[in-house]
Amino acid sequence: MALFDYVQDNILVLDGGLGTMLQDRGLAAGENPESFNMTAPEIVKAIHAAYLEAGADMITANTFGANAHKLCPTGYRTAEVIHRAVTLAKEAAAPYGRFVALDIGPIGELLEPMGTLRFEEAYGLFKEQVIAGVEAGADAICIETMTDLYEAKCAVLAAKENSDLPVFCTLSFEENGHTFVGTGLSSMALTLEGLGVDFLGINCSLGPTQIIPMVEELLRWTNRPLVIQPNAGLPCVVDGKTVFDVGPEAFSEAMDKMLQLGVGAVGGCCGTTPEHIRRLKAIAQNYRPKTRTGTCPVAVCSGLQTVAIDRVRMVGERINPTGKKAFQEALRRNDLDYMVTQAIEQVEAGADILDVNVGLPGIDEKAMMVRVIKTLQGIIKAPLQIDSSHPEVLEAALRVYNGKAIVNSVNAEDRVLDRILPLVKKYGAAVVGLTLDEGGIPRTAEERLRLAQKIVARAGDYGIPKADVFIDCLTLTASAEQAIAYETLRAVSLVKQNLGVKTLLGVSNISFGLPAREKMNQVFLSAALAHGLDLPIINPNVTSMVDTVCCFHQLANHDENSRAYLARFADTASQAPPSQEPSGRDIGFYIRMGLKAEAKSCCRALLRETDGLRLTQEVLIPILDDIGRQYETGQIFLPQLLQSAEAAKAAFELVRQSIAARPGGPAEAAKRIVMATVKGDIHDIGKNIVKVVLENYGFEVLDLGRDVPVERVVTMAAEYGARLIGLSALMTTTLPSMEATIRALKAADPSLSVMVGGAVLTPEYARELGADHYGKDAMAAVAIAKAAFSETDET
Amino acid sequence: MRIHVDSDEIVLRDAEILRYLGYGGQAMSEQLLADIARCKQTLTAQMQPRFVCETFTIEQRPEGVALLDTPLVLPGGDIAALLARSRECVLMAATLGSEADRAIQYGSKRSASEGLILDAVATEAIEALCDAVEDQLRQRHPVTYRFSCGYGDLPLSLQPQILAVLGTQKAIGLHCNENHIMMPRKSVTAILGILEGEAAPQIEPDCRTCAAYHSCNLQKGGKGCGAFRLRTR
Repeated sequence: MALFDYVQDNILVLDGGLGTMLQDRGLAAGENPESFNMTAPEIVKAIHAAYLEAGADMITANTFGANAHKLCPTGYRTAEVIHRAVTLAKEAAAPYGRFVALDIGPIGELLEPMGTLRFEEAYGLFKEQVIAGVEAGADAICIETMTDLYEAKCAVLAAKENSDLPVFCTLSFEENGHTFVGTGLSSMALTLEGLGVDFLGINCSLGPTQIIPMVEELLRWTNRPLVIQPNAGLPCVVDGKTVFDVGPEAFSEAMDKMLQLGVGAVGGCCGTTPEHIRRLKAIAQNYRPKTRTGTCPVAVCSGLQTVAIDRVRMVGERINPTGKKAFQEALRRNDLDYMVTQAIEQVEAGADILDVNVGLPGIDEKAMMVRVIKTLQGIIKAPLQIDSSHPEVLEAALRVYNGKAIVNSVNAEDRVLDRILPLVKKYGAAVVGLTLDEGGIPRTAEERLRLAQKIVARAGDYGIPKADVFIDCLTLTASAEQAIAYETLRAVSLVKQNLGVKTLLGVSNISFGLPAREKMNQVFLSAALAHGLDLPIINPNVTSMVDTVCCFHQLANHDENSRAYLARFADTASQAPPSQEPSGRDIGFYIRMGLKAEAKSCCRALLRETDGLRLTQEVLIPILDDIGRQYETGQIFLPQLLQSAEAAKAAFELVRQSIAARPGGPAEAAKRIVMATVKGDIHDIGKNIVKVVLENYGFEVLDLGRDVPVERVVTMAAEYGARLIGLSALMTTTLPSMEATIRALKAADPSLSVMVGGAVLTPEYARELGADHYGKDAMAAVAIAKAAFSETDET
Repeated sequence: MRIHVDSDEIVLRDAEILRYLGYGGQAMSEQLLADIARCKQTLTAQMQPRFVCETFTIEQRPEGVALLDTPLVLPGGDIAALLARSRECVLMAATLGSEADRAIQYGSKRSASEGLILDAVATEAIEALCDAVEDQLRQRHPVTYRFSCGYGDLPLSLQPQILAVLGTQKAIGLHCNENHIMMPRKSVTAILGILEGEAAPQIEPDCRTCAAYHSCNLQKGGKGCGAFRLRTR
């Protein structure tokens, strides 16, 4: 009987702990458990036999850590270990007619963004395991003990794309309901269900009683069958031996409760023994799998945050280059920090979800989208809405996104639906459906409803539930289309009433071409919310927009005890009138104190009477020089230097704007520097400091971030036209990577100048690595840069 | 070994945070002090301090100090000297978790100075966590000071093995990459010798015995980093 058929009618009982059983049979701490398949196959087989004898329906082969990364020190190859392990398990299972699963655990290295292992590399490692497991004849794939949802997603994709086997996937949670990297139960459920995992759930870390409330929580979020494999309680050391505190009887009693709740597959993890499984099997036989059809919350998530669309949720619109010169410029020069800043501003202003659009003629949208998604999910927690009209961009983005995203968008054209909906389904996203087709935007609400119906129906054909389709009835500009602008709101109501789906609207378009846009936007937003809009796409930096949503939450009784309302508005009445604008004369004081807003006001005042260039030369640079001297003589220390530099930067931005606005534009040729923390190293605090200070002195710095591959530094240096490259590394172990980067840079262009810095570097060491300059701190870097560019100017 | 550290036992000392920031008695504005206080709040709210420690019987061998029943052999003269009077040692690993890294990253993107201060706060937090664990150990036995890979002649390349012996990936979510950099970033592994009989006089190392003596900028400025544990005997 196939496993798929078996689980229709039976609770699937898996085996118990393998690692702890191996430890009892001689596996030393720190030793590789998979090497036992090769060196002591009889021990592995005996453990399998014991679990089968106890009644396990499916045993897991001894392949938990059989990936190329973990096997490296043993000298064994993945394929040989997996073939041997699965064969051993199959030989053991054959007399019992039971199933064998390929077991896949974490790779053993942290994935980006918190670690340095790239998603694509991790995929390659998992794929190798899956292919070997399929060849060896495994009946299922168990991905388990994951703590990083991103790594779990990577493994699931490898399993689904390289096999037709049933996929089980479990994460390990701590008692606070989160994994080590911070993933919650809801994010796991939404993401893994979306990816089409057959059984999802929890294993390891905790004993069964601590897991019961987590099972209850999981059941709220998903109707997928659950698999639960707890530890035999918590480990403790008795007489030098690790023992677990939950015996077989207590274990099976707690598991009984989970079966009552509707769990479809059960087993044990660390510390559980064949006796635990024997008792478990006896109880599991009393149950049949339940088909659950309850309504789960409509929600999207990142790896760290779930946003249920159970009330109005704001989608931030600012990550979009349309009509924004500075944004376009940032995209062209690969300045990801610009986008990160936009993201942080929006989230801090109250956005729940961020729309991400990086489409611009002349840039590689797909590569840029992947970089932006990876960067953003390393910094902010808000879920993302991936916005592109190119299916290949959407797919690349969905692949590397950690969580359940929103795809923006499809419309009612067949060719669009049939191209994009399969991607939405494969990666388990939600999707925005625009009510337009080949004929454009219908004039009446009824016609738009018909298109919405078509989109929802087609999504259903592809297996996408109605709940995951968000309909956009399309805002028309009130100036050009006054006669039918209101039709959009009627359409929102109609769609809500007839389809019961979530609705989304871009708000600001309503006022295009009109004066007093903010007022019009605010009224339109209020009206749309009253008509049933769930997901307004807005600029959350405009206070009145967020105010409107906040008030609406209060009115709609979604803000318990008016808590959010009071937090936002309680002090409004007592707020002091803005203090007098600081006078321009005080600019030195405010820069020294590191007060950005005040320094900026001073600068604005000064710019009214002084030319930007003169202000820079005669006021700002002398202040900075003085601050630099104070730092070098120890009168101020690093945070003070840095805060001053940041305040000065705010002033310089105003100056730059004033100069750019002048006919003729900026006079000085750009002094461009590329900076990076080298491949393999993630310590970038020093580099960040140097960047800010260099910018103060008029250098344009392109920051490539940390753990930057050699080739990327070389390419970006050329693309950006930088003459000076700054590299940082903290550890002795990453200096070879620094050396390789310098060598590659010099090979590409011998005239490039490279400066290096970092805790373990010395001037001598820097020379050995082939660097032109060593900078002990930020002020030293300024001196190096000044000298480097004055040489360039002379030649 | 059952050792428990409550979060209120992880005490962050302002003087230490300032020292990591390179403070040398300069006058500070109210705003800077407030910024530091805010960063302390942010970091302590985000961090997930976790640790694991285990006792091993050791054997001095020509190739190094062997931890029995593990593949681990600690080479070099410095660790041999540290453990000269011990028959057992404690191996510990501690981390603030990846949420602390993320908080520093987020802060760095808001402003470099915020990132710098958060980083210093986190450095103090991981030290304070280790101190709390060490205090608990000391209540049971006299122990040597903490010694880590990369100090003296104990190579960083031991890091993966230390993590494997303690099972840190599964126990506390602590990994290291191919360059032996630990992730989450604010993490420490350390070895302490259990001293026999009466407590031995604590060795008070100074800059001249530090492994980083020749390359240390602080030391060149005459300030030193004050982190005794960064030094070898």
